[in-house]
Amino acid sequence: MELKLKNVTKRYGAVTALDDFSVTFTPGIYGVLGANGAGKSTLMNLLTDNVRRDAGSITFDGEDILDLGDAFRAVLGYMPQQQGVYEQMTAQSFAAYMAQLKGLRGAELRRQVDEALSLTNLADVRHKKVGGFSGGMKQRLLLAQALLGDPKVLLLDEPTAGLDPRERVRIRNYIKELARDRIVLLATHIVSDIESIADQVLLMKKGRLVMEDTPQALIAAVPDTWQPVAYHLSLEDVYLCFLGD
Amino acid sequence: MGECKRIFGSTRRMGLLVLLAVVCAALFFSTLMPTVGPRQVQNALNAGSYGAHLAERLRDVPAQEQSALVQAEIERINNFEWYWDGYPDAVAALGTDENAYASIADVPGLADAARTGDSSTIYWACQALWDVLEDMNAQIDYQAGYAAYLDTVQSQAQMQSQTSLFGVEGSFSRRNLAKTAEEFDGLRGRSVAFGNNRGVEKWLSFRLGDYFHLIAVVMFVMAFLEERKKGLWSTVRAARGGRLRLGLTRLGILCASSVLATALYSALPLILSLAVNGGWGDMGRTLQSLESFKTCTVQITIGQWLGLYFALKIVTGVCVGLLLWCVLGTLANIQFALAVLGTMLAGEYALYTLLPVQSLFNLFKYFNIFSYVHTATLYTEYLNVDLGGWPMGIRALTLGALPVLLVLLAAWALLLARNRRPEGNRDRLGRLALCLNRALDWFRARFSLGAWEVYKSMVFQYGVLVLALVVLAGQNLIYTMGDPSGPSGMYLLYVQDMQGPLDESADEYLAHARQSAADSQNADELNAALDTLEARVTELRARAEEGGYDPWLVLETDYTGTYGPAGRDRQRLNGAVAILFTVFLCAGVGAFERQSGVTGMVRATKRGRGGLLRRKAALAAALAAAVWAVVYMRELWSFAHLYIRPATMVAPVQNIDALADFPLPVTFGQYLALLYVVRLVMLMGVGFTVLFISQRSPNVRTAYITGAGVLGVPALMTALGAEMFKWVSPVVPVASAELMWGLGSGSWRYLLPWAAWLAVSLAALVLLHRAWVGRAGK
Repeated sequence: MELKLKNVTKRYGAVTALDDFSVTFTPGIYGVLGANGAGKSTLMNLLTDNVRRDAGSITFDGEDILDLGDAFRAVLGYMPQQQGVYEQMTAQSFAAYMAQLKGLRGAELRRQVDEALSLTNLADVRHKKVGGFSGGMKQRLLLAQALLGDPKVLLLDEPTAGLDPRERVRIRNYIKELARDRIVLLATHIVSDIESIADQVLLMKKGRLVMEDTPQALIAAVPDTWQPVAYHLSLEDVYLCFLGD
Repeated sequence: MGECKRIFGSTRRMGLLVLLAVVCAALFFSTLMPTVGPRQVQNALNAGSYGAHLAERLRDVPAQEQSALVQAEIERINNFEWYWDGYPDAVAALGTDENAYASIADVPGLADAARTGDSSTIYWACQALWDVLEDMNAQIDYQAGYAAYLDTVQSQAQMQSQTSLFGVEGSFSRRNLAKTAEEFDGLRGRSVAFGNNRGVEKWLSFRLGDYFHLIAVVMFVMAFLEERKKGLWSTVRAARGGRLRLGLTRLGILCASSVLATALYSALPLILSLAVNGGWGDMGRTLQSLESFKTCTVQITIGQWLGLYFALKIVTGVCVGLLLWCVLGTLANIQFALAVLGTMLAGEYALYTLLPVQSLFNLFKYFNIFSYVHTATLYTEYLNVDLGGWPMGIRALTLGALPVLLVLLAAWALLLARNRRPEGNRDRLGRLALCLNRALDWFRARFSLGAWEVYKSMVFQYGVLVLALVVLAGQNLIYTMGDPSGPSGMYLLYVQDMQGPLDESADEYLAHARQSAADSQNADELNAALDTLEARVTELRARAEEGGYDPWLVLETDYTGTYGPAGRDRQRLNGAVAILFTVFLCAGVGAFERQSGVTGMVRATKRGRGGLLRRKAALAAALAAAVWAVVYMRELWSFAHLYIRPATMVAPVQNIDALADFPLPVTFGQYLALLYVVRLVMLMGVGFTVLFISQRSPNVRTAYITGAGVLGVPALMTALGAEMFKWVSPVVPVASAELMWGLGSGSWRYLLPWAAWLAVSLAALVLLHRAWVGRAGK
């Protein structure tokens, strides 16, 4: 399984959001790090075909995702950064609706909905309206819907934002478990999440891929002259060293 | 001050209020004429002016002569109308066109109507005048009999008190009789005077304004809860003026809003009514001079009552607003509060409308929110209810309770504003909601994607309510009115009787009719009618032979009145209403995803593009079909009920003069089927276009406004006579009747509006597909 971006460029008017971007994803967890405006969300939107690319190709197992269309979306799980939900629905209804959109039916739909809600710790509030949920609960619900349909490619935009530490660790561990036979792209500002579970880290700046390596390798690449933020070097130092102005 | 600015400075809220005022005024205006159209507006204005002048004349005439004068006016108008219809008596009486014009020189607009040469135009101009004259006759009869009516009340009370049923001392019935007799006795000797009552009477019969007033009050009360919806309740309550002071400010705002609503939805229709119906008349006359107040025992003048009414309307508006505010403010869960409010209003309305007047529980009918909504009925209806054996007038009961209610409710509202805390309240209803959601979730987990789309539209976007409103509003449309320009007299009766295929049986019928006519006292008239009929039969046979179809005799006016030129304005109005209904039902279907912020997520799923769009399009088509059923199936039913003879359904349409060159060899049944199918297709096109607009809108509200602005307003303007709007509106292809009728002349240009609208609808579908399904791509 291989998801490949080759020379992908995306411009919004005069602003280049993604500039000749090339990367290849194979099963594993990829942490995408970058400041606001670095192009992380544009990358997600290109992978979900929610924005038009200006140049380059994105292929899944050798075939362009645009040509694959529904076939690619059938293996895709996407959790957007914006907490958009149908506020009038209950958590269970929302998950059931999204499961329908993913092509699940009958008993399998109900089984997966139950599983996703349990996993995200929403089983107790499954019959409550989503409109009354806190930010963290909405976040978990969005993650739950992304997991429906057993997706082979998971795009998670800020999946642990707004969660308490316990929830974050739990979900982080679950994502790590999932990644054995999946491609998981994790765009986040919470560097510690990436540090603990990512196999590879992509550093993005102004639409360009600055570096790509394992967390350990990236940490090792920080110059000796760099003053650590905490007691020892971490990905935060990598972020500040390579992406900070 | 900030709260006042927030409430009254909201362009959305104030815009909606003004829009409601326009709709209210338009609805009221439509009640003043048989059907809405530029000619009818002119007719109504002319008739109003005519009525005002006539009322002035009649005021100085002794009561005994008033009736004769009105009768003479009716005959004058009749003669004029009959003259243009060619009635021998009228032709003989008026002689020439000049004499005919001279006979109605003082009647505004009638000569202009006659100069058009269109008998339908003349008929409707006369009809507006007849309506005025009939109202005057009714007023004269009422006023002549008013003193006798008061005597009857006394004599009936006397007589009934002597029967065993009402005669039991100390019973409610006995006391009720005595009270009624006493109150009506006070009216004896009170004079009722003739005047131009039409303006006030027509306004009094328009009760929809009261509902608009209620909607406005609900809107303002809902504005008080906005901080809860936006999660700002705690912040507002933590501010210095966020408790009692805010409550007092809102009390003031409620009063101001009731004044505004009274001005827009009560005073404005009255002003319109007076403007159309020739002004005020004499407002110093006794209230009982208006027939609506026949049973009113209050001794004031019309002018005093109007002042009292508007003051009461403001106060009752505040009272109803306070009640709603208290209910909504008491219940913490806003959705449940709305559900409770809806249920309460529905229950009160059911009691108000369904409880019989004589019911044992009629107290609940009159001591009811809707008694305060329909304030005028407290004066136009006389009834005593049983309060522990004592009769109590409904007006005294309702208005007596008003100050008490106002004080209690205001205190309740202020206490809520001061003491109600945003958090930590018991939410007993929340548990109930959870049970309900659990049950509903069981079903919803089994929904298909299509079922979900229907559910989202009907439940989340209140489509069920809109649909109910569509059904209710559809009842008020006028579908068939006949064609006044058609044949009349014996010829009409012969055609009605003889309708059918023109075979040997037709000849037998004519021969038999000739024989019967010869033995009749009015042989000349019958023979003249039969001559016309024979000529018609000959013409139809010749035409059918030439055209190669079967000749039939059909009463053309059955069709021309509903589907032909005489029904054009009505068809356009119904088409405009159907378009508006479709906009209101479909506008939320495409915008809901964007409003909820889920578009990107939904589009990233397997069925979130083509599969979802197909279902949305199917839903838009189904909703359009529902509107089609409400508007057009009702029309067909109405038409069939009044005019269709099953036998004539197999007659070729070419037997109607105007359809002689209709390009398809179809029967009347097939013609009607084609018309209604075309309408369905066109209305579905409206649904798709609305779906496209909706999909491009950032939220549902914008979709409603844009849809109504782009499709609804031009359609309504066209229906109201602004012809230039028909070029930018689908109303003509949706109404279809005038195009189908036009095809009867053999001209293919009538296909163009259909083709144009089909092209627009298809373009909307293609663009919709590109935007929703099409890959963002390279």
